[in-house]
Amino acid sequence: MRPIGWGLILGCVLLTAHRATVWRSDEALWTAAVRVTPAAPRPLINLAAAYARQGRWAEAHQWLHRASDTRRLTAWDRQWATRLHDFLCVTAGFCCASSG
Amino acid sequence: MRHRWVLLCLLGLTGLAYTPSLGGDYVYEDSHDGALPADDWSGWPATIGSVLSVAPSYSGTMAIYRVVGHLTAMSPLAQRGISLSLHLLNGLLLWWIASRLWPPSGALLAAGLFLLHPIQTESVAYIAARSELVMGLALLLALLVAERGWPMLAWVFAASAVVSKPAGGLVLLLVPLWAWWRRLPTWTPTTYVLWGVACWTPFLVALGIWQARPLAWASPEMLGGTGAAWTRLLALWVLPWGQTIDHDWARVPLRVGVGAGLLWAGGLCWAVRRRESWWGLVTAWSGLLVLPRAIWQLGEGLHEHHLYAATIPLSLATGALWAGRRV
Repeated sequence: MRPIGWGLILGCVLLTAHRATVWRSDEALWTAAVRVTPAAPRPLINLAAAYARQGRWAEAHQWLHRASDTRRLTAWDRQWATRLHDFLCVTAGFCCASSG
Repeated sequence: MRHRWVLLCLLGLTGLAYTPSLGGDYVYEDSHDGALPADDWSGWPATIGSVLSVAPSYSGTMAIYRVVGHLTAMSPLAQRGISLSLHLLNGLLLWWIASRLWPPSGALLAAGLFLLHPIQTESVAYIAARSELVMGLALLLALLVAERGWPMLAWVFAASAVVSKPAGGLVLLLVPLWAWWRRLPTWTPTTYVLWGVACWTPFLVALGIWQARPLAWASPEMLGGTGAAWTRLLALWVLPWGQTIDHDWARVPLRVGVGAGLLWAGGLCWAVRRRESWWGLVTAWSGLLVLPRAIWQLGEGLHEHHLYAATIPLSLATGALWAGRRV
């Protein structure tokens, strides 16, 4: 292959290696997703769930609240957000009036 | 000989590029498909039998999850290693096909792009997306034997794609499209007729008829959204910025979707008129891949891993361009 071909391949190696890092954990995956689509509720809810699994209740509550603020929740999102809200309420005492 | 070393180097670079993902834990829906509980194992025949009876259209993929999970005590590293190995094998097969078509530099670039393009990370690093890799393996094997002039064996491989995922049934359309586009001499009109007749059983499996899943027609919004989403995903091949596991397709305006649909229809007409063109094959191939979403309302939206089968002609077309062939 000519140098430009190798340049193309090496560019792909770097981008792929960079993208592969986000697949190490839920937190990295959904943090990257929120960066790309900050107004989409599903990445926000899943990021909140990732924090809840680590016991980081305050951060989980904060991201779940932000997901509710988007007001674009589908039926699936609402169901998932309600379950997470109930879990945070019972386990960590983070209760609010509505989960979305 | 030198080209084989370059190919080995590309395979090694692929392994290196995916190293950051290998040490991670299960993520998102991996725990639905990949991380099955260890005590779910009930012996080889019973476990494989249960996989076949519960989900025939996913049985191949599910069987690999369960066997690897059982043998490696549910290690995510092992599951990711299997996905990476399947991708490396697919890259090798693509190189094999490409090297029958063009000089080595074009074949190597096609294989390199297929192996290392960042759009592939979702299919390779995400354990739950393994069905794309299994479908890709069946498809590439079918194309390889079709190129060698064995249509019956190509049918066997193409039909086996339906055990990867329901959309695997599309392989039964993609292989004759390839043969027709390439004007393969062993494919006579009788071959196409027999191929079509023999496709019914695998199609029924692919459609999930055995699971009695109700299907609804796609709405205009769904159609428009799919057109726009598929166009955007293909654009990621040229500019792989802004990748995400969850594209916000709900924000795509309907007029953008209608525009994308019209663009596709025009592209398809152009592709059929220029049958010798590699980009024409890419357009026709991608059109077939998106066909089920143009007909039925499917539960799952479009994701980057749905592009895996489309990257086969995309890589080959880029390799053709590199080799100075008509594209």
